[in-house]
Amino acid sequence: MFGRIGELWKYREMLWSMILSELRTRYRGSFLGFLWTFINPLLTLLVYTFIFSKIMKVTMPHYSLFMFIGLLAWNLFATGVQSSSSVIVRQGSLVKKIYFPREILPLSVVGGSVINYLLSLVILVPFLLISGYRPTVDWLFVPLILLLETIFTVGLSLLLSSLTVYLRDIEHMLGIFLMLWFYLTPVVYSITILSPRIAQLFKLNPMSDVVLSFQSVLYYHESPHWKLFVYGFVISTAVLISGWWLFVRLNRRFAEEV
Amino acid sequence: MVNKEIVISVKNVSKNFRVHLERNHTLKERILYAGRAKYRDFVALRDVSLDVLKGESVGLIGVNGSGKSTLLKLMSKILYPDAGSVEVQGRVSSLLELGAGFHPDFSGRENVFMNGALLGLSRKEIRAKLDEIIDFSELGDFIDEPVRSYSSGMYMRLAFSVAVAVDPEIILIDEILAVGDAAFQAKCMNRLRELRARDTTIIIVAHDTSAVERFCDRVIWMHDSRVKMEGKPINCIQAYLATVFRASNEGTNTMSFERSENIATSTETRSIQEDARHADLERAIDESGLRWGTGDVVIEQVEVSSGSGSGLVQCGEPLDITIRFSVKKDVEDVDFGIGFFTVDDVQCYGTNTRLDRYGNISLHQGTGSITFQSSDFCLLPGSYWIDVACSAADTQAYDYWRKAIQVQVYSDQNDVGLCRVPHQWSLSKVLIESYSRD
Repeated sequence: MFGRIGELWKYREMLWSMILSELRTRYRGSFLGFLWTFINPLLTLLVYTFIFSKIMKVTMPHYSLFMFIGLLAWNLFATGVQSSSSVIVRQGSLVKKIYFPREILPLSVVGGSVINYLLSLVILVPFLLISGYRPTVDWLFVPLILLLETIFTVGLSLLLSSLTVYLRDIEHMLGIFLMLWFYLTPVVYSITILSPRIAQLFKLNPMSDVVLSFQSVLYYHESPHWKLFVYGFVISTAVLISGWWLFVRLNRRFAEEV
Repeated sequence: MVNKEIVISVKNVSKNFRVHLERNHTLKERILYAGRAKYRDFVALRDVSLDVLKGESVGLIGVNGSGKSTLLKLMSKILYPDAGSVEVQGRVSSLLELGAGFHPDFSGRENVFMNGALLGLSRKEIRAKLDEIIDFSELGDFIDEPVRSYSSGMYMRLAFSVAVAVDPEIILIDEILAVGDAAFQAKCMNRLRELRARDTTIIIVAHDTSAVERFCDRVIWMHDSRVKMEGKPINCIQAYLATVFRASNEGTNTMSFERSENIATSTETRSIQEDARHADLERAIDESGLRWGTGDVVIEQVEVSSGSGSGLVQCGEPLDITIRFSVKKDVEDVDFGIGFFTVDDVQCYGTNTRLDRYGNISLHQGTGSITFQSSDFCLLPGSYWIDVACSAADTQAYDYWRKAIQVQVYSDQNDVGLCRVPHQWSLSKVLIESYSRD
């Protein structure tokens, strides 16, 4: 596995250029182009603010902000996993024609999602400040939580992208599965509305850990719950290792199967 | 060459492809047909071993589906062998298919960066070479157009320009050079020669055997998933062409999943001459599309000899070409002819006994020989094919043999062209002191 890491390092230029082209192709041809990276979360935020404070009249203070924090984190994960599940097949022409460590493909997709997340912070941070939140030392946890989420997303992406080559159904099932997962993760609701036993169960889900940690740091102004955090890292690392192991095993026949 | 290190080592490699009769890609099918997937194995390579030395130029020839491209893909690590091992040392640049890694929506310039990154170059390195790459590609204004609008020739220009700019230690090329126009092809070949001079290892898959012959040090002939023959370009190509054309005439070229098992492995050493001697008359003369005639007189053997040895001559030295023939039926008024062709099939010289006014030749049953003697063989260095023929006065060929044998010409002088015109220089007045004919 260390050999593979070394090889990936040699191909870092390629990874970077794949990420860039991923980001650039997304809005290519549209009039506003790259600006959409910012307009999208901004509009999402406005829509949710409007619906939850004007129509549904949720009593939770700064609810739209609460939800936005979770939603950005969720989007990183969901778009990353969804898009990388089919990336090997989608980039079949590359896989068949040139050599490179195949891990680059799912990594570039997740990398693009992470960068998108960072760019949407440009919307989130001013919004926090406008809503009366001031930066605190707890904000320093954000990169760490982001790392945790990235590890988990990469692990699952490696797993799913290699399986999808042999089992194309995964790509379609994943949409429904992610929707279910979304509602099992406390993004649109606070985990406090659940009974303690159910809440305990929900925290087994690593994405709950990620979203809860983001919420603690940015919304509640407290440090993340360390037990939860350590658990998250252990699970994510396990997913990463098993996902990569499977990927390495399956990647030998990619060029023949895509 | 003997002491050079091995940069590509292929050991006992086998590779099968699953040919899915019906693809069980969906979950339903996987469950329904679990354990009895419908596929057949297609053997692409069977126990292939070969080594390539540093700085060698190797040509891979063979009919379509013989395993050449699979071998190249194994070397570039796109495919993995089912058995055996492939070891490659050094930076590999591969041109396996047109436009691999090109993004159609981006301009040529942007694609140079992306393609360079695919080949392991940093942006800085690419920026340093960008002008050189664009110049070489001759794409001009098109470099800033999206590659979607490129023709296949333009694709190939860009791909080749990037691939040779990365200073590869090993370059693998699969046939794609055929797309470019003649001028660019020549430019590519020159570039490859430069790389070769810098000790780059080059492996080419090509169907243009004359290009392979001109360029490669060694040829590997793949046939039915195995290495059928390897060695000097001339020998391999001659044997290959003879087999392919014969098979084509017999209609046995159709591809099939089942590879014949009974083919004697390794090298086929039967020469065309032996074939002609043993096979029955008509077949022999019809052989490989390079020979035709009635068979009343059959050319058995052609020998090229000079002071330098057989098949080799120094420009300006005497050369003998001996044609041994057997006469099956008494014939009168016979001509013997000879022609010299470059490997590109340009005729350099041709004549026959009638043009040279040797009068009537009549032959009786039996065997004999005739020798073409040149006291001053003046073709310039290169390899030349020799056509020989025995024909009747009305130009009906008894036996016309295209490319019967090859002669290699070498020289210690660097004059250029096709042949050396007998000449001398004379100056009316000695203008330079040191003037002398050295």
